[in-house]
Amino acid sequence: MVTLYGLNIDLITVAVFMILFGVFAFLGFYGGRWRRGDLSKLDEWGLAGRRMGWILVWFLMGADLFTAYTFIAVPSAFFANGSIYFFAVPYVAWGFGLALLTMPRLWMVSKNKGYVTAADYVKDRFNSRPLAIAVAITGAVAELPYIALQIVGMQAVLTVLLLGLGISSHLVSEVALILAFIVLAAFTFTTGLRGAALSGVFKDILVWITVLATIAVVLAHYGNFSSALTAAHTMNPTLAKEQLVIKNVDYFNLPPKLYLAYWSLALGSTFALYLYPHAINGSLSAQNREKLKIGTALLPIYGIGLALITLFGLLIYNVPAALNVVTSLKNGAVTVPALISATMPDWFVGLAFLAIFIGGLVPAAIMAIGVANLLTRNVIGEFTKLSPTSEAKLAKILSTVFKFVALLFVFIVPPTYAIQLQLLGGIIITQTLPAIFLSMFTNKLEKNSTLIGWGGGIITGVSLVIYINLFVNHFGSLKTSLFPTFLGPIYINLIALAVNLGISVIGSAIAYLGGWRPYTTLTNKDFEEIKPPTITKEE
Amino acid sequence: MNNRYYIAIFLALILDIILYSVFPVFNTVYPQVAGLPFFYVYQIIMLVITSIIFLIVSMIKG
Repeated sequence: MVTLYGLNIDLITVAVFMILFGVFAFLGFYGGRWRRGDLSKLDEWGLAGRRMGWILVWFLMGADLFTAYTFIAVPSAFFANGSIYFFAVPYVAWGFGLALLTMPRLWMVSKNKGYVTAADYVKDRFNSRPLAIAVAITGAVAELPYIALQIVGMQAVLTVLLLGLGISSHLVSEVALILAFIVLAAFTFTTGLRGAALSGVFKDILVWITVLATIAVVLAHYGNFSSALTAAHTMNPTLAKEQLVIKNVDYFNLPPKLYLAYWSLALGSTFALYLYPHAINGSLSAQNREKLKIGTALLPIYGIGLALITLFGLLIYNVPAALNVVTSLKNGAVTVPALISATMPDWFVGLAFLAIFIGGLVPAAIMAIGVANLLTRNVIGEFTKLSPTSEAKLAKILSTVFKFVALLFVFIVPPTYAIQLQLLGGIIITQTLPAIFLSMFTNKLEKNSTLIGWGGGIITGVSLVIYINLFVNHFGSLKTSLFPTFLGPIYINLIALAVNLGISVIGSAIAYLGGWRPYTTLTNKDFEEIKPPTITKEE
Repeated sequence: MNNRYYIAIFLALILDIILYSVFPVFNTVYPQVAGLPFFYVYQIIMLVITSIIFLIVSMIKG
């Protein structure tokens, strides 16, 4: 049955969506009981008791990768701006390389010293409460736009679903947003990290089916990439006039003037990836260091899925019905759901939509849990002593409050530019790189210099973003994270990090001349395995 | 740092960054696969190669 807009969405689609959501919800709740632990304790709810093997680590971190960033933000940006947004592919490859360099070391020191968050580590390493609190707050703030991005993704799926059912397009996206938000809040509150990981496995299996089947059907029945490239070229003047796609968009390859932009977006995002509290949280939940390494090394394979989904932004030109949805909604964020619902049978659309929907839901829950852990332990816990039970209770409440704040970010970015939410989060979180990553390999960074460097980086990054969007381009909303230089545009992240590193290094050198000596609270031994290996239990 | 694993993974990461930074090598339209320009094909194939390199390095204990 074909309905409005020629999309294959009907009651069967909705039924499949609901049934699979039921299975997913069951797995989430069951996950809370699986290998049962006391969920009223913070590291049980939040770190799954540090008992995850490499396959679960792979899925849990893969769940972080197959998110609304992948399904909605990247294809949308790729559709609107062309080849430059394929930078997500080298980003994924490099990101896991950097994770392999840093996470096993953080895992080991956390195990030896009983840390649960990066801020725990920073506090000990620098013997500095202010720096630890700065790191914790930065992590929490940087997650806000990233959670917002997940909400945009869930909203995009529900929008297309409601539209396909013939519900008035005037209210449709508001209704979709409210629905998405309620489900997210309920889900996070009732499951912990372990529930999220188990349901993540289910989600990722559906995602792989969706991606591979859709791309095969589109290529077989609607034309290959070269016909899409031709159509994209022909239609560009029309789409550019409607401001859906930039003028003379290039999908063939990368214009040389964008080399630096492409490279810096990939590198800046790489720095950010494993500084996010949810990523660190996921790594620390591994059962041992070797399992963490193998699980992480295999993650670039997930990037193939990301690359293929990104190309949906090009393949949509082969399917006029799908393109029609994007143009009538004036919303690039619906690129992937529109393409799927215009080309696949109704029941499959239900499956695919559920995969994308929980693709936003699971990561948003994982992020909210990570943030709640951080704020409870490293900010509030610094000022008052909490019992383990009230710590866990507070974390659960905070994670809900936090999602409301994240919701505000949904409104500062046009949906087509949702990727800017993640790029903004990246600029902020990367300023904790000297304190967390560098300090694991050197003890020669001084605490006050690192703190001032952090501040300098944040101020530089945020002011450049505001300056370029409001005062140079007069966008009135967040549409770019690039700053023009004589070498071409560059991701603001790297400029801010350069300022940060400059201050941290020069400040430390001055402190050294003034008689300060490198920290000795943690020695090299603390980053290595203590023999005989102790069992996972702390305290 | 006298640790073989960290040195190896650092070098592997640098190698991977170089593989994705040689734009003149892969920023071309031809050859194509199913009409997909080489710019994309190269970067997707590199994901598999990246994983293999990382997997080998991650086998180093310590």
